Amino acid sequence: MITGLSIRNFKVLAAIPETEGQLVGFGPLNVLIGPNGCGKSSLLQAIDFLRAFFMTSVEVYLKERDWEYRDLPNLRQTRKSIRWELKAKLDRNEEGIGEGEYHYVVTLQPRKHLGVHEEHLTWTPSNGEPTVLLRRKGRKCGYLDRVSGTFEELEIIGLPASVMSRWETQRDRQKFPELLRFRDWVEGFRSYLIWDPKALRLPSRGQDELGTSGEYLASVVGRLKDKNREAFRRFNKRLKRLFPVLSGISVSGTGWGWRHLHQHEGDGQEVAFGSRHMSDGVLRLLAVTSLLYVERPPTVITFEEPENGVHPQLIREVVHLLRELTERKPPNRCQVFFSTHSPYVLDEFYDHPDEVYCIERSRPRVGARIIRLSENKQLKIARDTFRRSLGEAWASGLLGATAGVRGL
Amino acid sequence: MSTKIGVITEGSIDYALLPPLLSRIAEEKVGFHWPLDVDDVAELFPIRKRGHGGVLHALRALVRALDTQYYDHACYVILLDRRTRRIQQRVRRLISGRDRFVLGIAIEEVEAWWLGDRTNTLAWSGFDALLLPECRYATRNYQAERDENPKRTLDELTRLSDRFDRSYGEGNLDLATEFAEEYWRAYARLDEIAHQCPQGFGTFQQEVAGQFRRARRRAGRLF
Repeated sequence: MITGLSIRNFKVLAAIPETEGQLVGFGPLNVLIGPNGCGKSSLLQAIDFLRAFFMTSVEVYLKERDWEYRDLPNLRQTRKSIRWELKAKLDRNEEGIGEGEYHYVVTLQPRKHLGVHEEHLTWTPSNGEPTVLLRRKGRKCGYLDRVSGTFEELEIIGLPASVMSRWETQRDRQKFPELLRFRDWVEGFRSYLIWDPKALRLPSRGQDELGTSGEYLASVVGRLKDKNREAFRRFNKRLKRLFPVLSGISVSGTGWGWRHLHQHEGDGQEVAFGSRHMSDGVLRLLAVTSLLYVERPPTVITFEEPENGVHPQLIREVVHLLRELTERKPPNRCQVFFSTHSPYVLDEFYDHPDEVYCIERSRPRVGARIIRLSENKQLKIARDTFRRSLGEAWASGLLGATAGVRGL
Repeated sequence: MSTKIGVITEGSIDYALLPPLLSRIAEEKVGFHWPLDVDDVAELFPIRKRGHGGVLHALRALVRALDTQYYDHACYVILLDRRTRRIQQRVRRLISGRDRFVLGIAIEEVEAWWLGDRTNTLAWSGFDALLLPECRYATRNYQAERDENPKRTLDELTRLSDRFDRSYGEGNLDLATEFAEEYWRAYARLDEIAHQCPQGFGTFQQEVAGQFRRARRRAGRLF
């Protein structure tokens, strides 16, 4: 779980947090609020971007998203480097390795030839001393080999990714157990944009995890049905609770072949509809719910407006689902970051203002600021004035993070 | 007579746990041998937000509606946490003089009643009473009603048990539904819960049983 994060010079995030050397603290569930264009998506993207360092090259990640390196730095100043600093608390993996706190720093130079300039990873085991596992600056690089017990130093030229991306999971596990534990964790990050009903509807095959816009839903549910009947039964039961008219969800097709989703309605004389006729809202909730039951959920999920297209009364359930997702036991523990514009979502955080982050930009060409709602001085007044509704308090403008538009 | 019971609760966990408990009270204490039909009042009078405020909102709408309309519920069961004293007073004021209402106060919350049923809780979590690992639930003389944070106790229990792939956290609907349906629906140990939660559940059980008996008498007069 990411416990602290600092980002410098990434898109609209010029300096998060503003004070140098500090980190913004995060918990298992984190919700971001703020006006359009304030930097909510940039923060979600910055978290997900860490995954890029563990691909063969950062360029692969950029190509997947159709991004250009010039667009990454704040105000397109390509001379400045982009810097991430994070602290993460990880549980031991299935082999019982790697439990402790990790401190990772990485900088990217967004020039014509992308390059990682600096990389640093320290591991502090529970009840232990910090150990430097990896150090890289410019061409000089060094890492701790657990087999020989030595800190190996070497020169690296032209590797636009993390040093850890070069290692093979099986071969190098003995040599770099904690480094690979950290890499596995970052590789488990997933980002979801606003679910696209067109993508959710498509039949799919071969994939066992959801795509960025909700692609491969049919094969994800299909795998759930094939691999874990009990989880599939619970998944169906949960959906029936959300949609009383629903009698179940089924998947046709087998194994790795094309899978199709069907919705069943009515007891006794049942009617089945294909995914082409299913409602957008049902498909969206189906996708969110599936995350709770899949065998291996992502380690960190960054999500754009998961409540989008969902009935106001069911929004509460979406927040419940996301909260339950963070309560899975290790090694399947999951951390969730999501943005929202819905006061209904915020209502669900009345007792948890420490999980809400307000992001704001005061004027053009100025970077975003992030403030935890629990640290907002107006919070007490807002809660006293708008009893039981944080959403209304937010909409009133008392908590800040408003659209700032006058005369509408 | 109507077997329809109107229920007003703070949230989905309470709503998952209450119906099987009401069915068991009806069956064991009053001798009903047919299933109860539990109806969420918040469905009749939609509320924007549940929680304590939602209970009050739905109840106000129901009380107003009952003055002019007929609803065929045998009785209405309201369930609140102890911490909501101000809401409790308002609820009491609203239902005073009306005979079809029961107000249950769970001390501290409904999860205490769940933990009060020690036999079923241990069976569900897969622990042996004698081999319970070190946790709050294992302390000698554990009294569910004196537990300051029953949710945390349940969370601890689910964390320690190998049976679950998730912990209870602040309320896990799947786990609550599983317990309610597979353990409480047929086997809820009412006397054990009443012994562990005498103030909250003991009183609630008596009042609910009384309502069910009155409902039967009312029905008897009709036929």
